[in-house]
Amino acid sequence: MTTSTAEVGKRPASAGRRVRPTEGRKTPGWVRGLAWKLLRLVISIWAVLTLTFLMIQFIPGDPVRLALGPDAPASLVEERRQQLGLDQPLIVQYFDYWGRMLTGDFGDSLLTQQPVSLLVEARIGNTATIVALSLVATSVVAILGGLLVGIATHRGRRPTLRTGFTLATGIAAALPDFLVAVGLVFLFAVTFTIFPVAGAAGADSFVLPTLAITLGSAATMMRVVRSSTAVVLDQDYLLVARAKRLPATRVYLRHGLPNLLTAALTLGGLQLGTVVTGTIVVENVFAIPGLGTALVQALITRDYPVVQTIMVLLAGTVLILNLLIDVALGALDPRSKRQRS
Amino acid sequence: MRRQLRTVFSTVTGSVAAVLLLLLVLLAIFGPIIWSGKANAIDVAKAWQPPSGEHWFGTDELGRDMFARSLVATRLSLLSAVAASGIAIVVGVPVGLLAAMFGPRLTSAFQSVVNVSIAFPALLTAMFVGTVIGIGVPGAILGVGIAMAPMFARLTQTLTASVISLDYVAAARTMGVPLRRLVGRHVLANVAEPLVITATTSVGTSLLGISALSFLGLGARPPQYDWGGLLSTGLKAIYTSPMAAIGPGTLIALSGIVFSLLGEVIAGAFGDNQSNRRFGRVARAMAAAARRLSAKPASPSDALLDVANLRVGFPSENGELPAVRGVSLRVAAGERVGIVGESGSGKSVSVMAIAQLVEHPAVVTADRLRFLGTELSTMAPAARRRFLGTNLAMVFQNPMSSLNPAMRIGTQLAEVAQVHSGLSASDARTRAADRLAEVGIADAGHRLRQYPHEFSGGMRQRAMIAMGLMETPRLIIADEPTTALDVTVQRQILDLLLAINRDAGAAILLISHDISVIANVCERVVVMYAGVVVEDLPVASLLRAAAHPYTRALIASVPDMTTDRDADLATIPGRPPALDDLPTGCPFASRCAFATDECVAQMPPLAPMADGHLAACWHPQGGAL
Repeated sequence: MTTSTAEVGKRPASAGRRVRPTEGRKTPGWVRGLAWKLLRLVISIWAVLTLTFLMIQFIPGDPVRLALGPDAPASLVEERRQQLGLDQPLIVQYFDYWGRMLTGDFGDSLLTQQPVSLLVEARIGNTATIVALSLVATSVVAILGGLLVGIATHRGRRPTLRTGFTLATGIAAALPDFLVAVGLVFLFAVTFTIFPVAGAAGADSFVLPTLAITLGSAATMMRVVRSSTAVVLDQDYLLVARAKRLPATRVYLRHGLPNLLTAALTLGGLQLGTVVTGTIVVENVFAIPGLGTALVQALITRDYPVVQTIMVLLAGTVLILNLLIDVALGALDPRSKRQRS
Repeated sequence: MRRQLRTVFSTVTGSVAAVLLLLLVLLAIFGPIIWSGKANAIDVAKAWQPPSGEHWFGTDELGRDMFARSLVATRLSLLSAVAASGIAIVVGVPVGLLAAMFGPRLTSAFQSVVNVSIAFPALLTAMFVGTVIGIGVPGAILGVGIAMAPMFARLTQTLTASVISLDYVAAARTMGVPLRRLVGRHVLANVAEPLVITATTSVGTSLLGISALSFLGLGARPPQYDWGGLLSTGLKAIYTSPMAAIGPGTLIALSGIVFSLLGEVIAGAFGDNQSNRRFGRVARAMAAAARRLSAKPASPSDALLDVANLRVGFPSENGELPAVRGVSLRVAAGERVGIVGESGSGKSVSVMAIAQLVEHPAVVTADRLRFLGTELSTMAPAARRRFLGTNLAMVFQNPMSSLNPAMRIGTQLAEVAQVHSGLSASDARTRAADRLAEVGIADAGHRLRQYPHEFSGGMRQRAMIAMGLMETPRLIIADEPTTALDVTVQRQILDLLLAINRDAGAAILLISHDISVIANVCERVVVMYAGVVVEDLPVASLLRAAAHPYTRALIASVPDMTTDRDADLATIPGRPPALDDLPTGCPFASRCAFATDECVAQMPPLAPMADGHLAACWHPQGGAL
């Protein structure tokens, strides 16, 4: 249903410049598609950089005075204003900001006067670990679980499993990551003491944060995978695959999986963005020194350079992730190559 | 709408969600009035107390009662959530409407922007807004509201676009009715229902989002407090007084679930209606299927395919619906046999059952189901897969959907030989190219690398047939292979099947609702009606000696060049009996001009009329048509 409504709006727009398949021989369709996707990424990153730049300008009143508090001496406020370049014309500030962000010079923290890049260097490892683990765990659990349950409950088979699955994933998907995290802290701090509940001391300190993010996002995505599995299993070409007497693994994994991943990734791709921001929340619950804890701290203390930098990094990760999903979708669904470009 | 609401509240989940919602609303209204005093009573001596009879959730760092604070916080938590959803709707819906109304160019630009912003995490957007307008409750509300606005914008835009493209709206537009008026009249009415659902769930989403912000210290700040803020207070005391965290946490989870449940239940009420309608169609389609007399199974063992008393039933609430009721069928090596019948006569289900492709929950039984002398029903699955994979090929009705859209044509052909003959990938490709060329597809090497969407309908059906020829099938089952094709292409596909039968010696079992197609291709025709075979005769005798009134009616309804074009087309009055309401006698009796009491009372057996000619009729007709 979602795809059909999405297509309704798409049709008139793409009809005029639909690429004929045979033209693809000179400039292959996927090259053109990739170019478009990269262009979109560049525009999105431009938007994120511009918005984070304007963020300070949007703040009503004097942002530096707000940050330093009413008791700070006027000379210090002026010094910090100059440090942020707020005394420069807007356009100069803008290009200066671009230059700095692209060269990895993120400026100095208003609070500590340390370069933000040092903070990022020290903390990005923990955040990257949590995000990467959660992304992998979410995708693997959601795709395998959804596919297996989808096959097992196809056409009204095993109604009890179906009900249990709907109920369990419904509850898991409704629980936000911060609640799951608090629940895990409670369980593992009070009842079982297998995993550490605070800090990033060793590999096992990443287990609970990953679990906290994965539970809800995997449940949400697994529901999508299960229902797309049910749809794909009813397609004629799957009947044909069975009529060709291919082994069950080939029927489901080679003929079914790519097609259901198309649907699952389109919807589930949105889910992966929340996996990335989930790290902000769980780092704070589990007291892990990462970009998420730094961001929240910086937001509270109005440490603008830190806020800008971490927002750009996290947003950039999400945008790149979306690009990868788009590329994967293009590879999975050959029809999308001409529809999307 | 009223009926739908009744459905909502008659369900258990619906009533549970409604009761919980009512409790939350009452708590939001009266909570602060009743418990404010207790919630704000500071008693530092009682800081961080564990739960007790006096303080159910314990106390916070200032000795305030966490339970009272949790109840009082209901108002701020709920109001913030509703306000954020309101902002999302007020911002998102008009944007979506405008985008849909102002032509394709704007729509496409809008979609790019909205798709990116939907994929952009709400938490970051909310944090951004919070930074700009200042950390606090208004910042959190506005932040979450703006973060959710793209979702409403897209929903509104797609719904509006689909309404605008409806036939009657398009017709009104060509007649000059301004789009503004149409939107007012048609769009809003159609968009309202999904919007209500989404708005309901979005309150839950807002509540969780704002709670998360407050939990991180980016929402409500002292002296204001909501559930998220209380949760973060409670987390500090999780070792000594876990209830301080579990209490507010439970309230957040519960409220989140209440709203998503409500949304799901409302959506379910709308969706259920649709699925009921869908189920009705399926049931009718099945019920429109058919009836049959069991024939004496003659079984010369030289038959390629030998089926006796095949039955297929679909379980339903009213017992099993018998779609196929004792079909017996024989196909000799190299023979071309056609099965004809109206839709629902059981012809497709029969061949699917023969090919072992009928799926749960249908139940298949047969006295005998032999192919190439081997009983299929008792074969081990792996052996049967290989046996049928090499000896039986199938061609289906819709070539547009029969090929896997995500795989290259070459891969789909080659895999058959790789799996069943153990060919290498390159050998299999070579064979695939040969087969494509054999079915008349030029430039086969290039075509192998293409995807189904680059093939025309006729070419796809050729590719399907080529796929069936990757092994050396002794039987090709073609289920309405030309129904979905253009008339000019139909003839080519039938000729191709004839050529394969002639050159490769494969027998053909052709299913069609069109008796003229079968007369053109086959040597023998089996007529099915209501799940049973009513006549089985050589094509050569069709015009001369068809005995069953139904067969004769089918022939009479085929128009030809000599048909009087001013007269009405000959049709068969009435309709086949429903599967759940089959008569005890001849299923055709109610539509038959020759029916007598005997026909109504007793089902006629399939009896020999002449050599190679069987018919199930108490009053077989004679003479040429």
